[in-house]
Amino acid sequence: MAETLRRVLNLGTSARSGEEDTAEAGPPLLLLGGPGSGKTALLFAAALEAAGEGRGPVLFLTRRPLQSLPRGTGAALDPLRLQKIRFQYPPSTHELLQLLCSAHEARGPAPSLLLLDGLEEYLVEDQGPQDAAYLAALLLDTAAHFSHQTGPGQGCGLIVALQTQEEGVSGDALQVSLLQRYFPAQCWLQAETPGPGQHRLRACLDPGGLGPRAEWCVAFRPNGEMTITPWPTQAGNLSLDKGSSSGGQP
Amino acid sequence: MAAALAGLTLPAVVEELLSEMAAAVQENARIPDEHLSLLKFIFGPSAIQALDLVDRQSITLISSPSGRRVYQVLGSSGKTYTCLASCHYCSCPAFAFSVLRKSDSLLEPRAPSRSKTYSHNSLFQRRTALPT
Repeated sequence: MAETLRRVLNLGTSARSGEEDTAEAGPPLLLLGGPGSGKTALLFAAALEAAGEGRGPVLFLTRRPLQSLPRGTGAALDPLRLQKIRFQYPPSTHELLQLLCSAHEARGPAPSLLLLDGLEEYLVEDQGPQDAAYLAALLLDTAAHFSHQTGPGQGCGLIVALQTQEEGVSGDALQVSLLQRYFPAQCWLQAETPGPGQHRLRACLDPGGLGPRAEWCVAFRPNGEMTITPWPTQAGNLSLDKGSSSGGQP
Repeated sequence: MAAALAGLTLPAVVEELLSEMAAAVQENARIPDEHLSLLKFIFGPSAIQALDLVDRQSITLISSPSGRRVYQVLGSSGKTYTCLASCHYCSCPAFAFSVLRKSDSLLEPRAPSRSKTYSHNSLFQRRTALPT
């Protein structure tokens, strides 16, 4: 759900135009990054954002329960929003496939956003590209079914987070490129190397031909709070204030 | 039809072709030879295999009351395969070999590899969605 992620990433900027609040789901999005690059935090922020839109619930799938709820972009964790996020923890690939295949049998309103954190943990057991393709396609099919259920003009978004190796292992690269073929939009999280005590990443969102690429700087404060600012376009302007949400306008 | 091809992307061309074929079938008319030739031109040999499956009525559309659908295809070996309705995936070995092993994007309108996924899915969907 590129648009939801874009809105989350735009939250750090000063102005948010009113037209952004369309209910368009946007294309399925693959969120890529190394370990500790903030994928879970971003996913959770997207979940809160979608939960606050007043549409269907948010379905958050992950293998292991989150140890602690990631601190979002400044706004306090609204309990009403939290209530709309349904967490499920399929312990194995088989369970995940079962869940997706039987998603149409579940009762209750269809979700407005489907999130999967840690796709790589479910691909460990696969026997080849066909299994990875099957899982990706099934995720798309499930989101498409939810979209069909919610009716026209709304739709269910899909964001899947995949951890990539720091150094590109050949097998990993093949799998990533296969998954990229199923996800039109992608967002890469790359760690930058600022000074000590700072944890900063560059988020590069590629909506897959439906819009221009955009970049943001995602910074984590020591208390875990995440702040997002647009990435400065001028070269050399790397001295962003940590956590400042008004500086660095390109 | 030739004039309509100019300036269109491959998916749009395929959609228009399949719509015209569907209209012909619905009127119980014969599908014009030009359409079949165009199908083979776009999709290559897999078009013939796909149409063969259609003729042998090897494709079953399974739908649930929720509206979710999936295609089940009976292969020549007697094994059944699952073909998703909403995106490009089929569980048969031919899909794995000819589509997944290539590095071309499934979403780029490049004829060779995209055609195989399209012919794998689109043809089945169009044909079986019609009343028999």
